[in-house]
Amino acid sequence: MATTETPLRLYRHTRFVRLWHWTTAVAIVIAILSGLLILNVHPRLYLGEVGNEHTAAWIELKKVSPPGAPMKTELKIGSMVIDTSGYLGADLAVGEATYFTIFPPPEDLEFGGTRKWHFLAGWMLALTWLAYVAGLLSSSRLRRKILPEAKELRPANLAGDLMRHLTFKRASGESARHYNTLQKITYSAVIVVLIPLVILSGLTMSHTVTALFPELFTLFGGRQSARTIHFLSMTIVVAFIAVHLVQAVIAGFWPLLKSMLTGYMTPGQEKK
Amino acid sequence: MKKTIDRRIALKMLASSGLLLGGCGRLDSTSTATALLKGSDALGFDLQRLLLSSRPLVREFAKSQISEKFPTNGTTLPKGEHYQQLVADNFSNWKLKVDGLVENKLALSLNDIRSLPQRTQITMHNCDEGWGAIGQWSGPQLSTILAMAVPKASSRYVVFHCLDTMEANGIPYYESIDLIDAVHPQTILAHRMHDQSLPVPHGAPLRLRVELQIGYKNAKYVDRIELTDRLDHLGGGKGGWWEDFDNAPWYAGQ
Repeated sequence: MATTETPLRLYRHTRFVRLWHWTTAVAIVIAILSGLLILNVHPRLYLGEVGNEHTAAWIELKKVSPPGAPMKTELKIGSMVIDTSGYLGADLAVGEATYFTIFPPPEDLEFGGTRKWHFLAGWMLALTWLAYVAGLLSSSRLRRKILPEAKELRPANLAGDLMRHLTFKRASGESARHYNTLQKITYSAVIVVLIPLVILSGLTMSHTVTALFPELFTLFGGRQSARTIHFLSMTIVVAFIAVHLVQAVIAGFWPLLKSMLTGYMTPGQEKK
Repeated sequence: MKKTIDRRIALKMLASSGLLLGGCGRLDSTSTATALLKGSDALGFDLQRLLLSSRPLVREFAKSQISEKFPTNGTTLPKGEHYQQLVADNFSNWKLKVDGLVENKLALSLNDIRSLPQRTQITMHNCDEGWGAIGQWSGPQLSTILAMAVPKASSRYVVFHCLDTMEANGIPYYESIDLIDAVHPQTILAHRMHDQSLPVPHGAPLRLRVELQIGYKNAKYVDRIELTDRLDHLGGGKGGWWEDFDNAPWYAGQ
């Protein structure tokens, strides 16, 4: 009987949302690659206003072997020490100076140019975020689709949603039309908290921006704290992308990818 | 029809993101990428100029916040007999030259520079590598020296020619800023650091402090100041040693 039914064809993503999704995706890839190349020349993260080779770092990749000996490295996070010998750490000679880096950068890398790439990514991320949020606010989409409803936040519903995730149950039929509660919570957090955090902590490193808005230093607890928070928020972005991709694979990668490219999706039939 | 175009656009964007994973270097050599980078650089400059239109000052700190040890970067001891001789004479035979598009060319000794009105500021120096340090700098405002030289109406930029030759390509260091940042109250020519004569590793006899911008713009070992209407005749044409050598942004307030 089912073969004679017309398959359900859902219009899930408007052109605007699809364009935002992919621009943001490209921006994040550029930002992470260029950002890692920048961190690479000074793999030390500090708390407070000031941090440099003469002050203690909160997170640091450290060379612990003497010059000339086989390289031994440690990743220090607070008081925790992880042996990273053989995995992380490389000496990089620039003129007379030797830099200790996380990994050897590409030979033709222009360090100054890397920062141009990072700022390009910043523009892409910030401008598309502004457009997306403006779009959300000017339509009912934020309330209707992204923000979880009060009834969805009840423990019973959250537990049910969590169970469906843990048992890898795919959404089918009508329920595939909507984001589920955990999805809504995650997307809300990314749009309302994570992306603004990345942008603001980045802007706190700008002399121009902080000359006008010195309050940013107070907000983040100093320039070096802002740099550290900028890095940590990047690791959360990476974790989000990893889960996002894994979830997409579990839920059916190709139909989802198709829907984010064309707008349309044909989910499996609802079980009767 | 509509659907096909959407898909094509999306696939194009996907393809470009894939290309990126292949390496920034390769993409950089394409003209689209160069244009994009130039565009975002120009957008960044315009926005910063707009943000700075009220002429805000950067933060200044208390003496107690000065970093115990201030890192040195770039050249820490210029090579060559000329500089060694200047150090041996305690810079008594050295003069700062100011020329280019000015009505009065100047040659100022350290004593001349010391006799001008001085500004002392405790600011945070930040390197594009990520680190920072707080230090105290003293010297005349650049605007004072420019007023003595009287820039011609056609002048747009202030170029700093330095005494140190860069190891990587054997070219003396140079940097440039525009007249807007040049006359900012916190843009000074420091001959003192932490209440002492500027030490050699930090740029003796004179260094630029342009507090609106980061590390590499703050040229050390300044020997000659040239006013000019264009930067394309200078070095590789991008306005500074790092700008030419590894494509660093010319305006570095970001």
